[in-house]
This record gives sequence, structure tokens and C-alpha cells, in this order.
Amino acid sequence: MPASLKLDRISKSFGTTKVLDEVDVEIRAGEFVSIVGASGCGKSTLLRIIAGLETQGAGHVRLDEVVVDAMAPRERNVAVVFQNYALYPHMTAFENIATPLATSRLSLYERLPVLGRLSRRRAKIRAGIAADVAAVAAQLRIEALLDRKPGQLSGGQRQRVALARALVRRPSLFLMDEPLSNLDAQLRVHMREEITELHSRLGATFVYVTHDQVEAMTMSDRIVMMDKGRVAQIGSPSDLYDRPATIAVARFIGSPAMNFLPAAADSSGALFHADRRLPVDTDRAGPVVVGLRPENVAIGPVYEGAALVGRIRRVEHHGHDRLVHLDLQSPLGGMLSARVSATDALSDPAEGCFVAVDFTGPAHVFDGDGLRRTSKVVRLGFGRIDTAAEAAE
Amino acid sequence: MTAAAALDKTPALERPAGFRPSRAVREALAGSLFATPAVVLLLATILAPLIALVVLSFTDYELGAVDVRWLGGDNYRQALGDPVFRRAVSNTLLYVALVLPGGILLGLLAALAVHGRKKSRGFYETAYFLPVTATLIAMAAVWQFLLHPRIGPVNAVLKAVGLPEQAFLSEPSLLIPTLAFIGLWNVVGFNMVLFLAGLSGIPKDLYDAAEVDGAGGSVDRFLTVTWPMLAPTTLFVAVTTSITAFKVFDTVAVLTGGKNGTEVLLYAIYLEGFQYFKMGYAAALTVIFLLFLLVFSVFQAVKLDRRVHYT
Repeated sequence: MPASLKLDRISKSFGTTKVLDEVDVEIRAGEFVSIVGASGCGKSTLLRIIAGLETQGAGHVRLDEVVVDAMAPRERNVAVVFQNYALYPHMTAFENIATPLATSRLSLYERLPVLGRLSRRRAKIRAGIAADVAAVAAQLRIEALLDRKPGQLSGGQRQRVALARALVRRPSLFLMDEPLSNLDAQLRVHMREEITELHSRLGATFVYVTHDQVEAMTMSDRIVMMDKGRVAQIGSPSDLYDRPATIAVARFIGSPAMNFLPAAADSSGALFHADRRLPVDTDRAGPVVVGLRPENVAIGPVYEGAALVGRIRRVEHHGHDRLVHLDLQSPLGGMLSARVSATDALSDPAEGCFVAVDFTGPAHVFDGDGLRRTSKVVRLGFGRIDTAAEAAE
Repeated sequence: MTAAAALDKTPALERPAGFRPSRAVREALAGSLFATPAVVLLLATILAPLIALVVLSFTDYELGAVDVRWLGGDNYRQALGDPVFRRAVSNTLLYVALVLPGGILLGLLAALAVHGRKKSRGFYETAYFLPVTATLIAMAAVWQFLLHPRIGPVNAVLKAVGLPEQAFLSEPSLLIPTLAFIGLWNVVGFNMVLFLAGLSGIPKDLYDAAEVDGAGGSVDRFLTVTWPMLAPTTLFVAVTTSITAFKVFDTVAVLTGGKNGTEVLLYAIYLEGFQYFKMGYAAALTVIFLLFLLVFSVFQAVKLDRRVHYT
């Protein structure tokens, strides 16, 4: 049975460093939730606390509404896939997968190397374990590898053995700590699919820690974005992409990364970048940062009164589209990247050219604390932008 | 014609026609030249003395003697029939049999105990290692005092708790065990340091995995992770400990002088060669001694080559 998970104001400090600060997360049974964030944001510590490998300084972990703070990892019935797989190198793949079953079905003395053989029921239990291991191995297509030791397996094969070891005792909660980070790019894409498929087949609850936003975006039902020990945002992949709650989320989610322009809002909420009126309004005055996804930036021939003018520094070809890097011609300097279609009229802009820059999609406005503010794009696409003087009229 | 062949051909034009070894031969020549210094050193410092030793062991050479007679296998026949030498062999084997398991077990226990310490680890490491750095000859004097039948504190303690006092350094049946105990005291610190190195090489992940797998109890942890992961270290410790134990000499020389039936191999060799000047006979004993050590070295080489290891 999949379990629901509730983290209730979890805090943790190592010495004087606060690693987790009042983390509140609720995960429904059967959900696939990714925890993302830059390294050092506390995501791995959070996973270890859920697993019971680390004790939190404050707060509670609830599995199916039951507080499990005092339980050992085993009693919580969670399985962990570790970043380096943590397979026992002296055991064959079979023995690795059988270990969690052996510890639960055999008594300590039955597991002892020589003494254990004296037990009469041992052989029968061992046969049951072997059958279960074979079933899981078939599920992950590693039957042929069961006799090998981890040292004789490739990265992808070790990954499968580690998954099998997690699967074999049907845990109610799967915890994965960057399980794909040691694989090469191609295999990673493949395993991404496979894990997603595994999730839908098992219907179990998955908590997946990663620093790779692509993994989080492509695999999860919901994403928990961590920043400096706090939850920055929880939501579906499109929530985080379309409405990032903080500038940290905006920076982290999306590739190529979002552009950021310093700007200031006047009393009416109109935004200016170095005295140039931007086609965006917000709700109150003050210094802000405007975030723009590269696909919401358009470039065109320079025209009189264009709000932003850039000089093309470099063009990256991505096949289906191109990423144009611009140096902004503004007293504040800065750079911008625009994602343009390969079939666009300006699809092959020459490096060194000057172009006008316009917005073709939503702009994200963040205040001085990096928090999202309401904003409205007043005009999309190309056109004459009001200058400061005109806006005042 | 390939580019490489073309390159190969050009210098030939500038060279006088005639002898020009093939590339393979030239590489082999250059390779041998580079290997020569190492081979010469190996021959001069290790193999040549060994051969000289084996040759000596078939003669009646005595230190300072002018003429030398070839004896064939007489020295070996004499050694095998010599009750003193046979006692030396059995004493040495007994000594090894006591020091080897004790040295591994106590070294491992000390390492396990010290490994978890954070602040006090440095202190314990140094303390356990002190006997290794201390000269055994000097420390033997301290042991002589400790074990002294009349003034030694060990017997005082035995007496205080109501146990019979023991003549540790003169009662024949106690001599080898006593020497083995001192040998153990000397070797445990070193083994502990080796085990500590092995312990810190165990990935923490494995303990986490063991805990998640339900093998988090101390016995399970030890059997699932620690002990198997220490296998290469244990093998190394076993080999070095047994070789050290085989070479026991200083405590025997200082504490018993080989009296009361405490001859050990190295001490017997020392007596024959440097006290009685029978170099030929001593050489034969040394060859036998080396054969014993060879067994351990070969065992180690074979086992370590196959790597008890995993990655």
C-alpha cells in the first residue's frame, strides 16, 4: 500500500549551520514528488530525515498520519536508492537484492554464517526469498546478472540492482537520492522514462531528490523547490515554470535559464529599465527584477524609441531553434538571451548586429526580497514603446 | 603509402645506408636499457646475497676460516635431526599461533573502539601506537620488572586477588606464552592503525543501506558491511603479523637468552652464526627460515593479486 507523507515543520542544524528551516510538505499516497534545489539547499538531508537515517532537530515526520520520528528506517517501511547505489561490493547482485528480505524473514541467529545452518526452517525461507528475488529481477530484466558482483556490472546495471533491492520488499515509500547522477546522458534519459514507468506500474509513493531541474520537470507530479533550507515553492512542474514564486525558483527552473533585468516601478506601477519604459506594469513602486524566459523575448530590426536594444554576441544553434545571446545597449549593461525559431525571418542574425528587443510572453517581476509580484505585460510583440516622457503624459 | 610510413622513410635518406634495425627491435633495445638499472640493483642487493646464502648452506664455512669444504646436504640433515633446532621451530610456530589471531582480533577491536571517537581518537591512536615506536629491547626491561616474581606488580596483583603467583620468565611452560603476550602488546597498535585505515575506507553509504535493509543492529552491521569490507585489510594484517611473529628475536635475546627451552628460529640462527661462528650451518637454518616466510609471502601475493577486493 502506498503511504502518504507529511512533513511538519522539520528543522535541522549541523552545529551552528541551519540546514533545514521549518519545512512543511504534504505528499499524497501514490504521488511522484521531486525535491529540487542547488547543492547545499538541504534536500538530501531532508530525504535522510524522511528515511530515518538522520534525526530532525524539530518537527515531525508522518507516514499515513502516524508519527514515525522514533522509528528506525526499517520499521518505516521505506526503501532508499542511493546516489552511488551503495550496493554491498562483496555480495552478488542476488545477495544484494535478498538482503532486505533475509533481515526481515530470518532471525539474527539464522543469518549467522555457520550457526544459521542449524535452523531447520532456514532452507524453506531461503527458497521463498530466492523466488521473490527472481520475480523482481524479471521485472527489471536483470535475471542474467544475478550471479555477478557489483564490480562486474556497468553503471546502468548497478542502478537496476539498486532499484531491485529497493523494490523487493514492497515498501510503501520510495526515496531516491539523485539516482541518475552517475549515469551518462543517454542512459539518464532512458532511466528517467523507466523510473516514471515503474512509478505508474507500482502506484507507490516516490520522493525523488535531484539537482537536475529537467529530471524534476519531466518525471514529477509535483515539485518541491528548496532554497537555503526552506521550501521556496511547491507545485506542479508548470506552476513552477509559469509562475515561479521567488527569484530562486525562476533562476533554477527552465533551460536555457531565465533572463533578469533590473528595473524600477514608479508610483503607477509602470516599469523602467534605465529610464526606458518596459512594456510591463506591476502593483506598486520600488526597485524590482524583471524575469523573462528566452522564448518570450523577440528580436527585430532596431526602430526609433525601442525600449531595449542589444548587440548580438553569439548565436547558438539548437536545430529546431536558436539561442541568441545579446549584450544590452543600456547604461546598466547586462545580457539577455532570446530563443528564436529557426524559420524566423531573423533566424540567422549576424554576430555584432544591433537588434531591438521586445517581449512576446509573460514577464515575471520580483521585488527586492526576491518574492514574486503581480505583473501585467501591457503590450506583447513589436511596436513602438512609450518613452518615459510619453508615459507621463 | 601511409603517412607514418612516409615519415619513417624520410630520415633514411640522410643516414648512411647499411644497418638499420626495425622499429620493434629498436624499441626492445631502448626498453631493456631503461630497465637495466632496476635489474642490476635487484640482482646486487637481493638475489645475489640470496644465492650466496644458499651456496654457503652447503658448506662448512666458518667465520674467518681459510679453507671451505663442500658438504652437500649435511647441514640440512643435521638441522632436521637437531633437537634444539626442532624445539626452535615448534616454539616459533607456537609463538606465531598465539600472536597471529590475538594480534588480528585485538587490533580490530581497538580499531573499532577508536574509530567512533572524534575528539579522543588522536590520543588513543598515539597511545596504542607507542609500543610500536618504543624499542622492544628497552621495553623488555620494563616487562622484566613487571613480571618479576618478587617485586613485579603483576604478581602482586595476582596475589592480591588470591591467585597463585607465577614465574612468568622462568617456568618453561609459561615462557613462550609470556613472550607471545609481549609480542602482542607490541603489534596490536600497528594492526590497529592498519584497521583504522581500512575502516575509514568503507563508504558511509553502505551503512546507510544496511540500516534501510534492516541490518542496522551492531552484529548485522558488522557482518554485512564492516567485516567483509575489511577483508583485504585483514589479509594484509594477517600476513604482516605472521611475518613479524616469525622474526621474534629481541625479547628472547633479552629476557630469556634462549634458556629453559625458549629457542626460536631467529635466535638459533644467531647463536650458530654469530656465537659459534658456524656460518655454513647458520646459512642452512636461514634457508629453512626463509622457506617458512615464503609460504606466507606467496599466500599474500596470490591472494592479493586475485584481490579479495571488489571494485
